[in-house]
Amino acid sequence: MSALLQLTDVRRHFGGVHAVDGVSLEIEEGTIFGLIGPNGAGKTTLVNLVTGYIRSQSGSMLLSSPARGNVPPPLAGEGRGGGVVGAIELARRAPHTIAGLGIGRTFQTLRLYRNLTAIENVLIGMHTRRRDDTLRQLIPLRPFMRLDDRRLDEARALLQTVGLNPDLHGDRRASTLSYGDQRRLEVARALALKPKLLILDEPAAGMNPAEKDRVRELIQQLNADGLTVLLIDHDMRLVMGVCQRIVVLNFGRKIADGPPATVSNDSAVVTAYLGSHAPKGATHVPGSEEMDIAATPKPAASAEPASPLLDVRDLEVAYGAIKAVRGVSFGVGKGEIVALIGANGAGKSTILNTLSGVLRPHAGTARFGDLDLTTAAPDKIVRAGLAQVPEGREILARLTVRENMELGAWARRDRATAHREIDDLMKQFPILGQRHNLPAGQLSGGEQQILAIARGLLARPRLLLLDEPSLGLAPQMVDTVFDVIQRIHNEGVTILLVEQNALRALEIADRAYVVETGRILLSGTGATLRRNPEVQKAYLGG
Amino acid sequence: MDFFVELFTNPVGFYNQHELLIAQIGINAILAIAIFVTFYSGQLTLANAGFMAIGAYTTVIMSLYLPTPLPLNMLVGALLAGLVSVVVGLPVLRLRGVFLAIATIGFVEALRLGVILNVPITGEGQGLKNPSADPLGGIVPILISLPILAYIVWRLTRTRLGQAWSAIREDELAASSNGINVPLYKMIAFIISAVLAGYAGALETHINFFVDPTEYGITRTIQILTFAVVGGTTNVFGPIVGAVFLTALPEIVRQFAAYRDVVNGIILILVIIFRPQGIVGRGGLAIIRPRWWTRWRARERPATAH
Repeated sequence: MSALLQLTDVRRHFGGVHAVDGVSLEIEEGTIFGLIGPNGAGKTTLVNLVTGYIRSQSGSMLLSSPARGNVPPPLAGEGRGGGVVGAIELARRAPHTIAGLGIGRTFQTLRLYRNLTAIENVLIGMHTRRRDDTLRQLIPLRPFMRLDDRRLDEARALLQTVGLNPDLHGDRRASTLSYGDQRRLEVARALALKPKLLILDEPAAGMNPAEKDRVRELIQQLNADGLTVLLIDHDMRLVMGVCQRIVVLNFGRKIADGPPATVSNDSAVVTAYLGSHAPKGATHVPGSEEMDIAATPKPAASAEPASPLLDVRDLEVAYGAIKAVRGVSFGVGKGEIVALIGANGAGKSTILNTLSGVLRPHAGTARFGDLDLTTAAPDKIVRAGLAQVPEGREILARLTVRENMELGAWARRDRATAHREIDDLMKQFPILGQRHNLPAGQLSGGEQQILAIARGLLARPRLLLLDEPSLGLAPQMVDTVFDVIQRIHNEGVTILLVEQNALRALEIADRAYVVETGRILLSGTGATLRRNPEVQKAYLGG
Repeated sequence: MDFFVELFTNPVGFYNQHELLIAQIGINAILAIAIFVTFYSGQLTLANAGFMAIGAYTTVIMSLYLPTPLPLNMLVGALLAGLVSVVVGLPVLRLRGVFLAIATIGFVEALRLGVILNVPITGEGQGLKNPSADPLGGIVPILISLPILAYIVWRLTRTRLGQAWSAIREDELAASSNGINVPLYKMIAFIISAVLAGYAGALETHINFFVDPTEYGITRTIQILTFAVVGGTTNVFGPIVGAVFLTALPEIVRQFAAYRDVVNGIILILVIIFRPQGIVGRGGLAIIRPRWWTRWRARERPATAH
C-alpha cells in the first residue's frame, strides 16, 4: 500500500481564525478514509485546500503519480515531488488542474448546474476525458456522432450507479429533483471524471437511515472497484461502518487518527464531537436503547386536535406535470409538536413551502386560524404568526449575524422589543453572540442552522415550521438544536417539524405523520410510530 | 399592416423597397449572435459596440490607404477586434456580473472618447467617408454570413466548448471541480464575441457611406443588449429573433416611428416582467402567460373543489 495523498503540516488561517492549523495525514490508495469533527472544525476548508479552491499558507500536499499522462509542469521555484517519487504537489495549483489530476469532489452545499438536466450535469462531468470536438460537431453526420451516443450511454449508466433512474430523472432539470436525488446526482457528476480519489463532503446529509444505507452500499461498491474515497459526514453509523481509517479535526487541529474503533473510544473525540447520543461502537444504532422510553410521557393525544391551529385538507401541489403532493390532510393543535417524516422526495418540504405561501397549491385548503394560506401573500402569513425555517438554512451569507436576525424581525412594529429579544437570543446562543458582527456566510453549518432558527423565532411565530433542522450537523450539534426546539416549544410555540432524523423527531413529537410519494401513509403519536415495525424498518434504520 | 401584406403578396417588391432595412436586420442579428456567445458563458459584457468600432474603422482606413481587397480589409477588422479583446479581457474578465458590465462599458467609452476622437487617422470627431461603400452590394455578404454564423454558433453550444460555457454560466465553482479551465473558456467566449462584433461593424460600413463615432457609444451597446434580453438567451435563435423583431418594429408601426425609443423601452419592460426568459424560451416560442394570470386562475377555482 502506498499513500495516494499525503498532507504535511497544512495551514490556513482567515484573519485570526486558524481554520486548518498544521494538519498532517496520509490517505492510502484503495481505502475509504473518514474525516470527521464538529461543525466549524475545518473539514471543508481542508477539502478546499486539497482541491485548490483555497490557497494553503504553508505545508505540502502530495498526490502520488496522477491518473493520466497530463502531468503539469513544476511550478516556478518548486522542487519535484519533495522526495516522493512521481508525486505532485497540489498546493498553488488551480482547481481545474487538480480535477484533471484525478481528484473528484462533491460540495457540502449542493453545487449542481441547476438549470441543466441530470444527464447534462453528468456529461459536463466528463469534460477532462472528452477531446475537443468543435469541428466534428460542425458537421453533425451520423457516423461522427457515435462518440456522443457512447457518452450518453455512459452518463445514463452513471446515473444508475448512484441510484437514479435515467428514464425518470435523466431529462429533468437538476433543480426539480428532490434534495437526496440532487446529492446522488452530484456524486454521479464527480464520478464522470473517472477520479482516483473521490472526496464526498456530507453525501448523506438530509437522507433517512434507509437512504443512508444505500449511500453506504454505493461507497463500498465504488471502493471495491478500486476507488479511493475521502468521506466527510456526520452520520457516525455511516462513517464508522465504511471507513478503514478516520481522522478527527477540532478547531483546525487533528485530535485523533486511527481505525474507527480506536477513534470512537477516544475521550477527546467523545467530548469534542460525539456528544450524548453517540454510538459506543461501530455497529451500534444511534439512540436505539431509548427506543421505547419517551423522555417525558406525553398525554395520549387524540388522532386529530378538536380545533386545530393549522388545518390542511386534501392539499395537492404540482411542479408542472409532476404531482409532488397528492391529497394530504392533517392538523396541528395549539401547543403541539407535530412531525412529518418520510423519504426524500416524499413531498414534505413541498407541504411546508405551500403552507408558508412560497408555493401555491393545485387544490385543497390550508387554514391557519382565519387565514387562508392558499391565497395569502407570504409576508401576510408571517405577520399572522406562521414562520418557516427553510431547509438548508437560507441565511443571507453577506449580512452579519445580527443583520440576519434583524431581518427576522422585519415584519414587526415593536422594534425596541425586537432588539431586546435579539440580545436575549445572543445570550441564549453564545455561538451567535460571539460572532454577531461576522458575515453569516463564515459560520459553520451548525451555527448557520441555529441562526436560521433564531431568525425564525424573531418573527414571534405562533406556529414555527422547521424544515430539516439537523441537516448537516455534527451529533453534538444535533443535540443542541433539538434542545433548542424543545425549549422554544416549552415557551409556548407550536411546531411543525420535517426531519430525516426520524428517531429524534419522533422522540420530541406529540404526533407524527408518515409521508410517502405525496400521500400520508400513517399517523399516530410519536411513541406509537416509534414502536411501529414498518416505521422502524423504513426510517429508523432498525 | 401594409408591411406584412406586401411581404407575403409581393416579396420581390418588398425586398427592393426595404433593402436597407433587411441589411440592418442582418447586421443586428450578427451582433445579437455576438452578445449571445458571452451570455451563454455567463458573462454580462457590454463591449460589443467598441469591437464593432474597431472592425468598422479598420476596414474603412484600410480601404482609404491600402490597395488591399475589401474582403481582406473586413477580415483584418474582425481579427483586430479579436486581438484587442485579448488585451481587454485579461484584466476585465476577472470581474463578474454588473462589475464586468461596467468595466466593459468603460472600455467602449474609453475607445470612443479617448482614441477615436483624438487620433487623426480616424477623422477625429468628423467620422470617415467610406470609399468602397456599396449599399446594394453590401447586403449580399450580410445575408450569406448570417445563416452561416448562426449555424456555427448553434453547433458550438453542442461541443465540449459549449458545454463548458453552460457549466460556467450555471456555477463557476462546480465547473472547475469538473476540470473546466474557467478563465480560459471565458476568454474564448469573449474573443469569439469580439470577432463577430468586429465583423458586423465591418459589414455595416458598406451599407452606410460613412463611419460616425457617435454610432459606437453606450446607446448601441444597450441596443445590442436589448436584442438578447427581449429574444432570450437559452439558445442562439433567441437574440436573433430579438434583433429581427426590434429592428423591424419601427417599420411595422410607422405611426409610432417618432417614439421608437419609447416603444423599445416599453417592450423591454413588458418582456422583463411577463417573460423574463425572453420571447424564445427553453421550449421555443411559448405563449405569454404572466404570473398574475396563473394566480388569478387559482383564486377563481373554488377552494374546496377536488
